[in-house]
Amino acid sequence: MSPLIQYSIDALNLGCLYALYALGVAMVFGILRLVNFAHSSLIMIGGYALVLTAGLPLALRVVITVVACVAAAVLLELVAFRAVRGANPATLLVTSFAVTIAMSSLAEAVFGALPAAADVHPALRESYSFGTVYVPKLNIATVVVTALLVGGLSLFLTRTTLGLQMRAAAADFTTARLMGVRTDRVISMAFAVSGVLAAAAALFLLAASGSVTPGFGVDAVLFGLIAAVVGGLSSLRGAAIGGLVLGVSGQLLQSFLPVEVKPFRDAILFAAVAALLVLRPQGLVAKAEGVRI
Amino acid sequence: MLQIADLTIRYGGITAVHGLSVSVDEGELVALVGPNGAGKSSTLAAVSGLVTPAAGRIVFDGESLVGLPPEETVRRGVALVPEGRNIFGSLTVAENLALGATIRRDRRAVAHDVERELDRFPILRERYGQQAGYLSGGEQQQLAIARALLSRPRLLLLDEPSLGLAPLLVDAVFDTIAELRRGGMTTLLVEQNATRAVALADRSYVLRTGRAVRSGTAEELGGAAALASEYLGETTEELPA
Amino acid sequence: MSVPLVLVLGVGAVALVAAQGPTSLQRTVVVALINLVLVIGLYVFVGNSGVYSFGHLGFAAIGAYAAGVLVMPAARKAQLLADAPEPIRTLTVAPTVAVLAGGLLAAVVAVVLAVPLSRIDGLSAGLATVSLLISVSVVAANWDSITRGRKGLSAIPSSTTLPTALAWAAVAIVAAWCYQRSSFGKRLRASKDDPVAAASAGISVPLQRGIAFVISAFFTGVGGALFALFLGSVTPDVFYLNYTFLILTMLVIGGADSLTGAVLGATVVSVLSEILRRAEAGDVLGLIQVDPRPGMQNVVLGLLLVVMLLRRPSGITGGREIRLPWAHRRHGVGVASPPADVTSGDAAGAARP
Repeated sequence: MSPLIQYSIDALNLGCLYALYALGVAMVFGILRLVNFAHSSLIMIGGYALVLTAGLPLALRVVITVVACVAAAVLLELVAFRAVRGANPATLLVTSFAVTIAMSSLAEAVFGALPAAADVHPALRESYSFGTVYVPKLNIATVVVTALLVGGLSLFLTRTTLGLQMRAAAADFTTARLMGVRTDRVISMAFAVSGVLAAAAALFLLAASGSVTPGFGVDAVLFGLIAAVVGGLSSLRGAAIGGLVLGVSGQLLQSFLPVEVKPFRDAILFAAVAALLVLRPQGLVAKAEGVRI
Repeated sequence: MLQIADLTIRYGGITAVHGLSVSVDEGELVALVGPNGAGKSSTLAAVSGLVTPAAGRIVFDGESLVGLPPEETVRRGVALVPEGRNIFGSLTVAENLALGATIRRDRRAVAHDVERELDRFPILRERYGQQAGYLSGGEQQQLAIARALLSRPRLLLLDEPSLGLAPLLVDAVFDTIAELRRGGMTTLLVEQNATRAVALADRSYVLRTGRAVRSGTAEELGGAAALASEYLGETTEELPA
Repeated sequence: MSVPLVLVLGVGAVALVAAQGPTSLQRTVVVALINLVLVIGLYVFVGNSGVYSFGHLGFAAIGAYAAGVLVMPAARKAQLLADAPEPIRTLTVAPTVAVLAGGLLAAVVAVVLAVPLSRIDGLSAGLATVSLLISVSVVAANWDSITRGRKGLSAIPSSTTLPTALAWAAVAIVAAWCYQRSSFGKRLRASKDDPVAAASAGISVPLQRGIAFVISAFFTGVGGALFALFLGSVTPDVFYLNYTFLILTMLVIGGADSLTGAVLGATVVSVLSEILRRAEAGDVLGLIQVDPRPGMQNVVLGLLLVVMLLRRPSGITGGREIRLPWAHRRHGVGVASPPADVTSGDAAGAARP
């Protein structure tokens, strides 16, 4: 066992996390062309769901968290985004800001601004050790669960009727409607899927940080957005790969940068992203769709 | 079967259609012809629910279509083949066809109908598993028509099906339309190629700036060729995207 | 020039009337004017290019730190920033110079950023600027020798007063107007309506966007500098998401397509949020007594803004400049930008879900 394994697992861990965030954002963007900052609210709700259920068996907590995130996602769409559906992008944007701020204010009113601590599972704090190499169990769990989620999502999108309808709607919503694809159904489903992804993100974020605040998930979504841009905004594959690349590079920088510049990791990472954009403006994954301006 | 009465369509301050009335009987092929901006495509968009008319009635089979979204009009039996075909380029031919049958639950009958379309358009069978974006323009038009037929429409709306196709392919498209008509498909056809559309149609309406200026059979309109010469120059312009 | 004149006079009148109130209200007016500078800074890019930038407040942070460090007396720097390199530790400049320097530094950063951003499409570019926001905050939080890290810069001599803030707001309004009426501004606006046509008419969209981006960064940096010299302190998390939301919302509410919209939006949101803040504290002009509830101000403000936008999707002004009754219509003052989204917007609105 060489330290190389440790570096790769750590890097893959962050890559998977960023891919989860990016997929959650891209799922909704693909269908609604809405940059959903409120995805962070879903992650925050997942975090508090895990805090409130502390003490219950993990499986039950996971189910409750997923249900809470999916319900919140579908409800947010119904209450906030449905009213502005078809409005111009600026209106959508302000709505998503407003929802984000409203939800975090609400969380602050209910739970207070201080961090609420909770553990996900004691085992996730342990590591496998191989000689001098330590691999946290949490990182392995993150990688495995993300792989399962991405695999399940791609099966859902390619093998089911609803999945096909969602892909059609993402490619060309108007034509999809002409085929009889029901708008409300695919949009609700896109939000529901983003809810599942948010629940997973909440689980791993909480397991790593140990506490939840009203601003939980905000940075995650910002990184997810940038990852989605890196990969090519309008495809899920692009978002996943963008997340993976951004996370893996970030973690590698973290491992190999000299100590005194380590705190500046993210700034260095984004400088690299900027350089990448100069070289590959279309994102890492070239678009299969027609060019949009 | 379809009655459009006093239809008015506005986009913001611009009126695209002014009190247009059109009727299509069962089994009939009716053509809407006229220059750019005459309101032909807007009329089809209104029937299929893509735009909501400012005024007027659209009655299909005794039921009003006004205010119904496109996902509902297709369930009432109206299928639109949009201008520019709008096939899903990132999806396979098979997936495009499957989407055409979105409103149907009878899987076996759908499979049977897909076979029928693949017989009608053999090239689609060859390209069945490929991404539709790689099809040529004529093949995409075939796919778009096959896809629309898979919803088992009782009224087919064709928006500029020959637009941008090479002459040989234009022939093929008109052959398909003729064949559908022989099969009894009720069709409302919008065409820039006025000569051929009027010659093929049972009846035609000539539109200009959102109004029907004349209507009737090809003979009543003074012969398809004569009609086309009226619009020569105007009908060959490139349409706005 | 009548449009900017009217806007400057209007803003000045509102500010001076409000400044007759209690001291707390005067401070609010100064903050509102600084926000106005930030909104106009953002408008120069967003309004003319049609591209939404989410990371602009990163420029404000740059301006704030630069100005804060520059105005601090050398003696205080010797205490607070003992590890700073030589010229920074000893150099102290006048507030106005510091504000200008803050804006210029932001503009320089914008020049560098414009290169990669010009390579991607508008929406992606706007989102990519979020990385600027994060990067600036990360650097500010960790560059201890210059920014004092998480502790932030404090004890900056305050110099932003009502007249300075008002003067800068006026400068920003006039400059934004001159830019949008210049041939550069007109070319960029043409590309907003139809990028393909603009490109085929020989307009380099990336270049024009880049120019707007740099001017816009300058004024955003100035706004940040004024902010630092008003509060007397800056921390890494001030110019972050919440502030970004506020500034973007101000712009959208007024109507992002016109300068009048930017000015009006900033004013309306400032006034509304001040009323709500007072309501939250328990009194609205002594009329209504409400239970103090922290955070609810934001919820109510958010709701109000969404409802306003649903009623007027293109903002209060609908993208038009103010119409002046005495202006000769044939000269086209006041019809700087027709509401481009009326036809296409409605058609798209009907077609999209």
